[in-house]
Amino acid sequence: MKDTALALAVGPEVAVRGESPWFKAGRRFLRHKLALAGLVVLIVMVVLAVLAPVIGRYSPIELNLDAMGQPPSPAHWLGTDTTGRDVWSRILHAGRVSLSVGLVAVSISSLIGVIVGSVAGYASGRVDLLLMRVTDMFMAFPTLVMIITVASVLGPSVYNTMLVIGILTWPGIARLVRGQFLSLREQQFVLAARSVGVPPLQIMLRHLFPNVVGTVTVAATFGVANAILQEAALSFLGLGVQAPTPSWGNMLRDAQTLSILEGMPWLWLAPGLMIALAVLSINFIGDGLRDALDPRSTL
Amino acid sequence: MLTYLLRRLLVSIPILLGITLIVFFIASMMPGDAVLAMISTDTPQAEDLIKLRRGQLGLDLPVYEQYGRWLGQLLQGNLGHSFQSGESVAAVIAARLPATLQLMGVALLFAIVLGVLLGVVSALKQYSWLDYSFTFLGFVGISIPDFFLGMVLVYVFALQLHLLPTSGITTAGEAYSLADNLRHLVLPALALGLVRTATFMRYTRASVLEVMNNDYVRTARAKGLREWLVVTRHILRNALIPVVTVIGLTLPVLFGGAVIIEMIFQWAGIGLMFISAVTARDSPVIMGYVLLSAIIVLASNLITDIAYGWLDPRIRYD
Repeated sequence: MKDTALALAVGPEVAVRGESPWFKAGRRFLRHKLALAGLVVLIVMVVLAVLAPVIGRYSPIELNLDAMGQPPSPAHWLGTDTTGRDVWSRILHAGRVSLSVGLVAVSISSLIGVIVGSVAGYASGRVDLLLMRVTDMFMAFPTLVMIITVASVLGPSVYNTMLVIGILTWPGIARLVRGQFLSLREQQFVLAARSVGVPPLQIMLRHLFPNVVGTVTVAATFGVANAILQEAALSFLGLGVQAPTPSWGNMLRDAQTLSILEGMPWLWLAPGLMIALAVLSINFIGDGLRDALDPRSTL
Repeated sequence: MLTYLLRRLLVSIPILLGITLIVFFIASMMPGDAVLAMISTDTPQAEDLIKLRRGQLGLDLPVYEQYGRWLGQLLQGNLGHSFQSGESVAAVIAARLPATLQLMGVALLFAIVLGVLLGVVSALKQYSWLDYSFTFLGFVGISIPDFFLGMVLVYVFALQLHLLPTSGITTAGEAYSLADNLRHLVLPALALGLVRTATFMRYTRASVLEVMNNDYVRTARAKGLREWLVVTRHILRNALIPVVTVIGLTLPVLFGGAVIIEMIFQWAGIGLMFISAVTARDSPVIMGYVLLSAIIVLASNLITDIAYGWLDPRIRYD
């Protein structure tokens, strides 16, 4: 992508013919079988989550004291929990919460990361030094420890969980964007743009940003997988999504006691496997996107 | 080298200060405080008691003054006292740190050994079904939450097979014995280490693949060296150097993971201490823990960089 941008800046003889870069990327992605499988699984999960109220059959929240702790059966596909709530229905509704926490958290972190990274990379010099010191500081925390601390200040809720994960996981993307901007800003198409008087903001948005979209997309995809894991951990500790709203993490929390662990495995197997499946699918999609959008990277 | 070291250490100081500043203000914003968590508000004298206790703990001062006091104490090596128990934070941490280090160390060792092994096999047999299955397993590894893995391990090995204990560091009521301690260590260390194996595997694989096609490897083969020696002496010695950096990357993640694993297995390390301090709004303990974790992360980054330069003479720091 960098090469085409450079070519376009150099002269008109390179007419864009045939397939667009995006089309090529799409074809490369479709060749990646695991990524495709991941995409299918994720789409199914999203559809299930969206349709949760329709296909859940039971309320995920209302107690049913006539059906406590039942193993999976035709009436309750995944059994019921200790207060008689249908696990299948809770899994679906939890999917809504967990998936949207992942998505929103990553939107927040990508936005911060791209802004910090772009400014640092384009401005370079002192601004860069200052911003990178701040980034270093955020990176010196074990992320989960910091997430726990901040979450306990904000108080546990769905929105705070999104916010906390979002504002504490941006340094990775910021560093990626900064690195690319630093090398891109020295290239001729940027010089050309600057010499005809294009304002910095427009250079960043029009000329530099399109070159990092691929990298950011890949990083953000892996970020979603990570955010889902973070949400699960936070809710598992009781500092994330709160009862009665189900999330995969707090369903695992409810099943922590040894008696449930031993006697009612359906209560913790289902949410645990859902987390693993969702995260695995997203990681595969990320891997496919990396092959498709960022062919130069090896890892 | 010495100047490099000094410069890195100097750079770490403002980073650490910044971290403590941020965390201190965050901790002071926590809803409710330690005094409210300790004293029941039902009694008629409660109000006076709360005021008195706040005064004793210095909680009635403005935040920046509290921070100044905390920092002044820190410079004298004093991390303050726990609001809950009154014990010195440094002493609590010192008492609990060995358990956490044991857990993290064994988990890390496990991740390195297994990860490097699988990574090398993967690379040597590139594009074979082994390579593909290891890569697939690696993805599974980074996708499973460690606490879920911990629950599965407890279910299988402790509750079904009755091979290992479900929780704790040693059997309660028995005198300490290393064998007993190690039996308790297996499951939490596996849960913590297994999911981090994938990272080591991927880096090792990539690094071995890069080294494998070098001229000196071809020369070694051409002079008729046995394949085993080519791999161990010529490929691995060079390929494993970059893998050292992965240790530095893994430590902070391991630190966070240990918090949850310690909770599941009731492993009485500093992670468990941190969680109970967060619930009790015990900010001196929270601060001590965060400071320690930041120091460990910074130190491990520095050590990794130094080790890297030491192992690979081509890298020079100035």
